[in-house]
Amino acid sequence: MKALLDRMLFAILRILPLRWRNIMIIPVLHVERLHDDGAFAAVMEFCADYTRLTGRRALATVITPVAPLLASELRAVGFDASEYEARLRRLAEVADMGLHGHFLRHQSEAEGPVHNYWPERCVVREQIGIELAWLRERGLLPEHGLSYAAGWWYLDSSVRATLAFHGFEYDFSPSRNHYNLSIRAVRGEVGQGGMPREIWAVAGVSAAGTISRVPRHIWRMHWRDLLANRSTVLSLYSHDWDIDPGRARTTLRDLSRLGVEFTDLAAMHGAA
Amino acid sequence: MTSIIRPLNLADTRVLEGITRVATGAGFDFPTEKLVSNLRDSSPDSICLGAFIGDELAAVNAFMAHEVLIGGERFNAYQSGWSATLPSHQGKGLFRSIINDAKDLLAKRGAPFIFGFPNSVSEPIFVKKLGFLRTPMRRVLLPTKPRFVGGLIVDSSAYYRALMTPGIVRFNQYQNMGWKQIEHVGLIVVKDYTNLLWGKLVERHVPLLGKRKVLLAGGCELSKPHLLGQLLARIRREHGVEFVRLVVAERSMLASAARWMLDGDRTEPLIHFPLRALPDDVCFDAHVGLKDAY
Repeated sequence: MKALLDRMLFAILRILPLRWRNIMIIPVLHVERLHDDGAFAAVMEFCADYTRLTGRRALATVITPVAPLLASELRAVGFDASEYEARLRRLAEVADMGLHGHFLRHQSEAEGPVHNYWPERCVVREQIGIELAWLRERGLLPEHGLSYAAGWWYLDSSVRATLAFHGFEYDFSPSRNHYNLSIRAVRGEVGQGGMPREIWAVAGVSAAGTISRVPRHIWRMHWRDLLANRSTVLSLYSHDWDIDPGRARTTLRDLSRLGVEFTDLAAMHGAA
Repeated sequence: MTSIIRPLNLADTRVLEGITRVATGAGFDFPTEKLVSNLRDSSPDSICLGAFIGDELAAVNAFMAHEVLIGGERFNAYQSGWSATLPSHQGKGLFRSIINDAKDLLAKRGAPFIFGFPNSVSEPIFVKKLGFLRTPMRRVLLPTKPRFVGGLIVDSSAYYRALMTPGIVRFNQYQNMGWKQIEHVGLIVVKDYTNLLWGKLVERHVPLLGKRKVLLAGGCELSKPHLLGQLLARIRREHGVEFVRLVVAERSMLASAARWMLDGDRTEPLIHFPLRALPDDVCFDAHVGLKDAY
């Protein structure tokens, strides 16, 4: 029944005289578990699909092996950090790279998130600096468009100040997703000078059955933009460990049928 | 004879025996292991001060280090506890001397404040004679079913606003929980999307409902307060908890966000003594629902 409703709504959205080409989509992956063979294979498959179907490059925001959360995970499962780095290099061949920030209160402990309850400025600022240096030393960051996506969707004014401090151009953290209301904390600052440009996450890229639910989410959240004929860049997110390349292909196909444009960091930089 | 205050070396078994002697002499049932656990497992920065009259250890007081976050910066605040004076030396101001020396010592360590949860005997001394400030406690009882009731009682928007209060002092609940898990086997811990709730499951009488499975919460961190209902549903599913009882300081995040709560006047209040300038709107996100959690 739900699938039927999805189909009907999709058909209606196709008929309505809406300027879908004003919606530009960039997929943003939250890459956390490349040591999992299945996750690594799935994320590589999706990135290759995205380029093949759209001619663009997906954005993979990654945790690095110097982040305490990933370092502790790699130790726990006995996965070598250099092997993880090799997988990141392979990913960088098919996707642009950014940073995905997960912060812990102590280097040596695997729990205790830095988040809304414990927004410890120094930890965030220091770790982002270390991870950026790690990525830069290995030539894994793109020339333009330094990008960030928040882990646990944690975003507040101190994180945003840190992103500005480190020269990030794009912040893919804001979302109206059920799991992220922390944007309330920073809503007053959206559009402030010196801050990275915010690109809102609209839905999971794998949100598809026989037909994608993403158009419905775009309509629900951005109908004003569609009606007002406003050009908008939105992101579709997924973790490496929960992406479903088949469903993601359905999403890309259905968005194409509506006439949605796809984009990447190079195109965004050129348009800016 | 004047007294000398100095930190005690807890690695020395003779010192531990001395502390136990003072405590027992003062009429407390002090299990030495508990004291050692409190001081060693709470934090490596915890200390115990002793007052000596000549060579005799006459009074002791422990200060357990707790990580707190104030204005986005981490500090160690110190909880006063394990206070005891030998009967033969009571009335000589030794306890007051220890607390006053501790104020200087801990201020030099960068501590923002000393705090505690004194009983009705020691509270007047702390407040009237030693200049500590008092914050009363509040109680909140949350049913775990139906799921939406938690959200009705705790306004997540108000909790988000409380999270942004500049003067809020946040206690690292992961530190407290880790310490108390060593001391008490069988504590329940539930984590859900970066939200944390931990405590002890007991059977308690709930008005009109009779005996129910109640979690006496030792601590709670909500980074995503809008998902409180989901956290409560999880604790019911995984541990059969029917109600969660939280006892929190007045103006804490939960107290600010709860639409319905009770007086916590049966619970010891929070007291604190600032060792440096604290924010004007200072308030403490302290939880004391589990006796001896702190």
